[in-house]
Amino acid sequence: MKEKYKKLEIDEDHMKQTIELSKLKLKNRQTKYEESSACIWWSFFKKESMKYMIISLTCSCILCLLSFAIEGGYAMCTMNAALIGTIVLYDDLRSSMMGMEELLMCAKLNPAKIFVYKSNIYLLMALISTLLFNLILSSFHHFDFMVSLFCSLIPMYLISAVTLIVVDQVSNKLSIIIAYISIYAVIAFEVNQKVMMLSISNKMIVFLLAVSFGIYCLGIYIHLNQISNRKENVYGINR
Amino acid sequence: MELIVDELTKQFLKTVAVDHINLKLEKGVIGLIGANGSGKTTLMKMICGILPPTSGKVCWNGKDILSQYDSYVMNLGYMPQHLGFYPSFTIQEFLEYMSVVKGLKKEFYMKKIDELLFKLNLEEKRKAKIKSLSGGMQRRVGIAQALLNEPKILILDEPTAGLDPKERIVLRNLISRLGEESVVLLSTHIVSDVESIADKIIMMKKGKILYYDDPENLLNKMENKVFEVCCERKQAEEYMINKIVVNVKKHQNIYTLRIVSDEPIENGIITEPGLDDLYLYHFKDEVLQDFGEDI
Repeated sequence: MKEKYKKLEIDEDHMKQTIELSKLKLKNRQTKYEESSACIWWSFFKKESMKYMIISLTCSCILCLLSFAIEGGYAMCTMNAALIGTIVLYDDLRSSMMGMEELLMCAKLNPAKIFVYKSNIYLLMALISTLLFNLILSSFHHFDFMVSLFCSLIPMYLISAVTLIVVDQVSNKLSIIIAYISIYAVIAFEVNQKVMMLSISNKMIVFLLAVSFGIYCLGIYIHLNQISNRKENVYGINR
Repeated sequence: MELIVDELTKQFLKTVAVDHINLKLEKGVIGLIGANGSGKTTLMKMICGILPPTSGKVCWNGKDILSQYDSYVMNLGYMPQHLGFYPSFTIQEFLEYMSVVKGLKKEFYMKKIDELLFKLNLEEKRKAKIKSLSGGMQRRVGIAQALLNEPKILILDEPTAGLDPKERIVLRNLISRLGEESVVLLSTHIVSDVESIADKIIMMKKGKILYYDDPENLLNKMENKVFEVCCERKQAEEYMINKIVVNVKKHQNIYTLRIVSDEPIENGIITEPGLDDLYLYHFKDEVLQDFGEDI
């Protein structure tokens, strides 16, 4: 039955071309895998997050232009951090919402490893865009670099840490994104109103930055443990 | 190269989705058929290692897949029933992304992507965004990503759903060729999709294996059970209520019915059985449930 079916359906030209292409196959199956994780990391970074980097840098510039038109440049720093965070958070949640996880669980880079890569990229994007933002603003306004770090990176680390811890506990992922943006909006508003009245020393800002970064790392650690536990449940404890 | 499913069971609260299944899957195309809720997808997910079994295990080349999962996934290609892709990716970008995630070398996957896009007739849509593709095309992209690492075990959950007849033919030919080198397990509702290409067929019902055999042997079980009968409308209606009617054809006022029955049908001519007949013989209740009172 199978032979009869094949005889009826096979397109000879298509078959010949397919055979030609099949000759391109590498003979040794092992050689098709990348051994260096650095190469995988870089490829993943290029494919996955270049576009988010470009989006966030573009947004930084737009926010800078806005800050010239309206007062409250420090609040713009917070908004910039919010924007980057939301993009990455949305991207991270979207893959699980769409059902990509099933595909990724059968891949060499499982969701936990991918998350580590994304977190690093997240951090890098935040740093670059915040620095760029500060650079542009401080050249036009009398901007305090340390205060702008206080207004952008510290809320970003703290809010992201909390988000990472609760993200797997909440089934409605959209509510997380809404809550995330809302908290940033409130902070941005408060920053706009009060930051100039606060007199925080640079040392204090560095200290707070270190603390918030520590909390952020803790958030990543807890989130990764949650992913690993989920994986262990999936693969069984004897893995 | 064999995949052994040993006493595999999955229980969701009180529902036993897969019930103590034993299978030995070897190189070739294996069709998995069964009604909705018969446990096909659950079984496939456990074979892929993405769903933990309640008891039992899956062994690849004699070892439990969980003890060698990293090397197992290198040999595994999986296309889930519900595809979740990044909609803003183009086909090329998505396949590159999946290749990176699978840990493939660039020089390997760039050639492989070209080859797969050609084989699956997606070349012209290479730069098209996934959100702009039809359901059938998205399914072909799903198949392409499963084939990126030249898997020795290929698990395809409903690969032909949403494909037009031409696409189904292309895919069936591709699967048939893949079955010469790999273990290809594909589930489907459409019996004709596996009838022509499967080396073996697994029929599942309520989490258990009803049959696991060659298509020819399965059809032998239906010998002398399939009849063709010509009758008038009233008689045809009676048969449709009381018997398993696989097909009805009307010509003028005469109805030609294909009936599956353990007992001989009056004036019925015994005909060659097909897998459709076997399927309906075992899944009559499920089919009636699906279509309600229309039948």
